Amino acid sequence: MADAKIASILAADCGALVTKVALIDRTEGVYRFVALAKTASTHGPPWGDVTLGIVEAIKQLERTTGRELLSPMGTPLVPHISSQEGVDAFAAVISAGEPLHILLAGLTKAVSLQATRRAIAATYAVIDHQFALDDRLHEQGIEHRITAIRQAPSDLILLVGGSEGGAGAPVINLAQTISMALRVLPAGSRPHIIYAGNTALRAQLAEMFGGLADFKPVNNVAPAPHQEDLSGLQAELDILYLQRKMSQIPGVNALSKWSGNRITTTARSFAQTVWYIGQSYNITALGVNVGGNSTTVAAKRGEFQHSLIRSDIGAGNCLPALLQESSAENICRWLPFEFSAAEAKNYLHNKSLYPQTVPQTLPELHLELAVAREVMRLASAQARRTWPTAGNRRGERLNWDLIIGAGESLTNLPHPAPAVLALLDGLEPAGILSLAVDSHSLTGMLGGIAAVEPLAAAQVAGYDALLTLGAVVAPVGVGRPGETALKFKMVYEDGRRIETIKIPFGTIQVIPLESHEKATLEIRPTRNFSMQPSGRAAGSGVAAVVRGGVLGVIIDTRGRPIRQAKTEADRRRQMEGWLQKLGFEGDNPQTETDGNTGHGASN
Amino acid sequence: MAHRIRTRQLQKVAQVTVQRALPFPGEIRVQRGQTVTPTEIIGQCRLPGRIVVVNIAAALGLPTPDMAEVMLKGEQQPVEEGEPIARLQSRRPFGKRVCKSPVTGVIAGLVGNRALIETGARLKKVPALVGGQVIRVNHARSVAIQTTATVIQAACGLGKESSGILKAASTNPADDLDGEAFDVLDRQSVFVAGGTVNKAAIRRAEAIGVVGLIVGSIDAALLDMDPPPQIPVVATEGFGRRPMAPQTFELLQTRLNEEASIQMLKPPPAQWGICRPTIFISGPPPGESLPGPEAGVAPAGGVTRRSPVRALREPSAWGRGRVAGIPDAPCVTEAGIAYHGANVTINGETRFIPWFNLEHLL
Repeated sequence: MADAKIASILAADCGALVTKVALIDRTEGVYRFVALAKTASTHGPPWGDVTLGIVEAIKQLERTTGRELLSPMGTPLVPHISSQEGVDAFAAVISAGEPLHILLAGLTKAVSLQATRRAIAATYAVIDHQFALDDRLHEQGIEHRITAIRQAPSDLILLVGGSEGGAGAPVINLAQTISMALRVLPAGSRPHIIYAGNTALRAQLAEMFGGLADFKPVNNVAPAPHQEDLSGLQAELDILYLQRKMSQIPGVNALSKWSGNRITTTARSFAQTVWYIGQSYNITALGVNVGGNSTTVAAKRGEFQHSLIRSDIGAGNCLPALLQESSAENICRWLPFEFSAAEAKNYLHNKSLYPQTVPQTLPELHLELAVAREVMRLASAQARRTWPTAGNRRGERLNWDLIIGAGESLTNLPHPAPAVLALLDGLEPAGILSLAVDSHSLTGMLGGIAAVEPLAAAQVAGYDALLTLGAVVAPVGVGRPGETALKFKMVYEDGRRIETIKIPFGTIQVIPLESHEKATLEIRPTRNFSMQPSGRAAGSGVAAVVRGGVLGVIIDTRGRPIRQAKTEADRRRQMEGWLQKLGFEGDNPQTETDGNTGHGASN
Repeated sequence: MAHRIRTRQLQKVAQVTVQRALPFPGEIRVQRGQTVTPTEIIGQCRLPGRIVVVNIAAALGLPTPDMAEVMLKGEQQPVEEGEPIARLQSRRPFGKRVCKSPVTGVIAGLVGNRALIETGARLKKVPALVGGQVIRVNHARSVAIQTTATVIQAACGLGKESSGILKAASTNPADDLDGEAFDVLDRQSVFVAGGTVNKAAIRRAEAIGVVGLIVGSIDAALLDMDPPPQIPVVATEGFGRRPMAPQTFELLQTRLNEEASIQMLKPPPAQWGICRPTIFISGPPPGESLPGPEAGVAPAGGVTRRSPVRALREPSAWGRGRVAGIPDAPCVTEAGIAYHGANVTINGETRFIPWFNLEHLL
């Protein structure tokens, strides 16, 4: 039940690079999005105060809406004084902090460490170092482990291993190595210890670490073979993140006061939005948010819900890390113009120096989207390993009813086509699904809004948060160029028909279908293709009722995995062609080969 | 109306405060109010070595030795290689056993039946890097030095901090820096060139004893150098192939044959070893007066009309100009996206640039 006192909300999302503030109003009993403002985030130098960016954004909203939203002291004007002065609540989410740095120690890579990595993936954290008793370092002795612990700049050592009732000696040996390392670290720089293994050892370990470092036992992440219990560890990591990292963001204390001490992380808020949409509409939903310093993948399938945060890849400072995990060649393959790997490395490193900058030219827009593709590819591949198998092999492609793209590089575009192509290329969804983007940058803040007024979050999610791009039809399979991949028939709600057409392999086709329209599709893949993401039941036809979007029905027969042309020139033509098919006619100019995009600037 | 954006310092003469920190807690050797020179040591600390673990129980043949009884050395005591650190006394013939240290170092800890010996620790001495007055001392950790200097904030760099005599490879700002530019007489020099520098030139500079290189831009491939450069390699503009801004090149030319210091600040780990360098050349340039107290400080509120700015993205990447006007409403860029920003005149041409893509030059 809506709190009758809350008629308007200001919601802020303080990202690593960009700060956004949205105004939500209740109009005729329904909460609707009114306006959004964006500025550079100001927690870093030379500003050193996260609230400065929020105030700047609120001033933009004041100019846009003609409303007074700031008090004379420069704080959000809460509660409202009149319909044109003030708001009733201020909500905030934040992703501007540094991630937790974790050193992971366990018995076996395949069991204890793998489960723990899944728990860590749900918070802003990077694993600096890991060792297991069954890895190579074991042969090199405890000296190397002690050195690794001393040298890693970790906030936290996470010790796991040992099923309930199992042998404790290996865990104790590992713990002794850790305690040795802690003894030779200065007291002020010893990491926190979390133990998530065999509970029978807790007392012994508490005594071992007592006086050395903060020690916290939580539920065993792998209590028995093929069993996992990650909730205790995830909750403790969230607390530690709030205490150790979020609290250090300059200005966060003031922000916390403004929001009534209800700040949460953007990743958590985004995940909650995706889960809520999946639950409310009883659909399977997948969301990916490509941020400046981190990327979140959230999934909802029935009772299963999970989120993964890659705190080491994004579209900003972490670009050198992306280059190491992927490659400049992998990024360049998505460009519709000539651009060498060396030029790409220079571009990406410059972008990492100035991560808040935005593309002003089309070539740089394509570069940002190429980066987004690689980020999505890496993050979703890791997330896929955590999804329930339900008879599929773990890591196998799953069907989704709805895929949501979020983040500046996917949403701040002159045309929806580049976003569609980037999502299709980066995530390679298959089957029949709906594709949407967070065009107003709201999905990251709705969780924070829900903490203030759940109905506001629900209604804005339903009415305003998503721009539906269209329905995607994407078979799995590989064929020869020109070979028919599927036969397609569509009947609009009003009776108009598109009679059976043959769609060749390797193409993208768009059939108009407005956002408010529905149509019935009949799809008959040929024998080498399947409409099931798993690839099974090749050649079996399916029928589905779909809703349209700004583009319509998008038929993607490029195959899964997507096959690009072999030569660079052909790949560029392919990319141009696919964009044109989606309705994007932007120029794809030639670039100079001097290591920079566009023409050289004169100083 | 003023807008706050990121800043970059490029000042002929400014009064600045330079932080000098020890990598680990140690000993600060200067005092507040003291005048220091660039090479003067402001503090020192121990850089940790590696740990060698000695199993005392195994060495003495005892399952659970009483460590207080058998140890000849305690925690934090130095030991030499071969020196006995534990002894088992026994009345039986041949019952005496001795455990000797395998390395020279310090006993960092006694844990259970083991002794942890730290070896290879070394003393790190931190110089002032700039000449000036110590205005603040953070006990055991850092000092702040106030100085008057030419200050040039560069875009990126590799290697460690350094100081030396500023020399120019050529007067042509478009020239790259190649290995032929230096010879053995250039030891202890910091070389400036307007173009770029390659790996071979860096290695030659290291071999000769050149202590720093300042260029317009560097190729990102240099990040893969193994071993990494042992001298600072500083790019004033960024990665790629861009000439140094004329204003920066000319400013450096006016300070040739003077002592230049390069401070390399390491940002968070996410930036993967890329440093943000600042170049200091102590004292005002010849003919320049000392700055007022507001020099080097961004005007309250930030950028206004006529403010000097630098563009960070194409199509005017790294160009410098002045703000010609600030539109009230967002404007659409060539990419078709609308942003708030400013109209900036660069080399006679005025174009709209989003605030995100501008730096305020101080």
